[in-house]
Amino acid sequence: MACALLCSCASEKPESKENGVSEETPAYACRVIDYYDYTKPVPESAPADDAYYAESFFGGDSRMGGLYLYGTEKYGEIYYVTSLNLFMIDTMTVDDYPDETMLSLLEKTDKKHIYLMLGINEIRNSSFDAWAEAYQELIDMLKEKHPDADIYLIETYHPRSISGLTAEELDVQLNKVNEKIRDLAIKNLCYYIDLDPGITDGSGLFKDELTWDGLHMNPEGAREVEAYIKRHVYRRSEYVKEICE
Amino acid sequence: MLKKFVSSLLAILLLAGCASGGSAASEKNPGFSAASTAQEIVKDLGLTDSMQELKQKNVVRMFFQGQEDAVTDCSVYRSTDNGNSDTVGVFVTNDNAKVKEYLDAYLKDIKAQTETYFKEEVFKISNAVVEEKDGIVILVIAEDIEKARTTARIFTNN
Repeated sequence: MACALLCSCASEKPESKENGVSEETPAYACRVIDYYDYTKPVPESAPADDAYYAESFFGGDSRMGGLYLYGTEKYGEIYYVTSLNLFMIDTMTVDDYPDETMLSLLEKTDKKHIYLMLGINEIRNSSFDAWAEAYQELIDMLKEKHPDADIYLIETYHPRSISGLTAEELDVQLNKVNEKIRDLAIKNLCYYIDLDPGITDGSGLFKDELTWDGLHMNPEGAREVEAYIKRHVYRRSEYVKEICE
Repeated sequence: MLKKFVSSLLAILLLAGCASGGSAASEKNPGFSAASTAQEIVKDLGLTDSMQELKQKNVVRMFFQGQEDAVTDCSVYRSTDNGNSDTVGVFVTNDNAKVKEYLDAYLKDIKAQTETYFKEEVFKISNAVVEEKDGIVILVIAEDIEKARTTARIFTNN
């Protein structure tokens, strides 16, 4: 398990003569340790409540449009850009918000949980190195502007098909892009979500009944994804402990 | 300190990959500026309303898979409107053939993508104009294909 040391603060506990601690007793050293395993997708947990969604920002490509159009969670902020390309995240306008780009919205959000769903429009790339560089810059910006926000990177789920790629090519490309997403999550101590176990069928493809075109969620798909996300939430209280010695 | 220096150096090199002078390509076309040429084509085609110039580092990432040595100068304007694939790209290079190869791959990619989202744009992309002269490649995706070709040719002397 990868444990991240959040901060190593050697704080001195106040001496208490009433408790029989003598003046010679060495000071306690306390460390805050994060036991969360960043190398794994966010594990299943008790579902989050409505308040959680109210504190969440969801941004992404047209797949995120499923949540925007058909989602039942009314309180979160959900934005999408049809055909969003990460390299144009600062220029392409957000669907229904012609004066905003995804970058501008991400810069100014005050939400505590930020979810990103990116990668499907670059899925035909011969290499994802440049894409990962651009994603890293986006994460850097988020960490700088919103140091206290939890950042969730949603892996690219397995669509039934993608124009221009054979099934085999799609598998290869999905593995490549998701490997980059996982690497970014681990490196930046972000949380990554693997939706596939919740929304794919026995063949590992997006369930037919959850999509209208093999890639985008229909209303049922949106509800399924919403519920899955709610059940896969990082709770600091479960993983971060203060250890005093 | 060293890390900061290396990061700064890398950033400079990345930018330089698309904006350095003194290369063979620049010598072939003295005084040629990708930025002003792209701007002029955008204006000539009457595309100014929704076109925005992309950051150079993102041009290299998007069109050349991050291969910084593919071009020595470049400027790309893309429509910011969803579903509008209008593009004007001007690339100064030492290797026209390599740039055209990358552009072919890019066009194939966005065509496949557009087939999913904006079928009406497929024709425009299928008829993208790619004009070149030694050291310069120009890409235009626009509604008025003939005007796009004529305009691109003015700058490539074809």
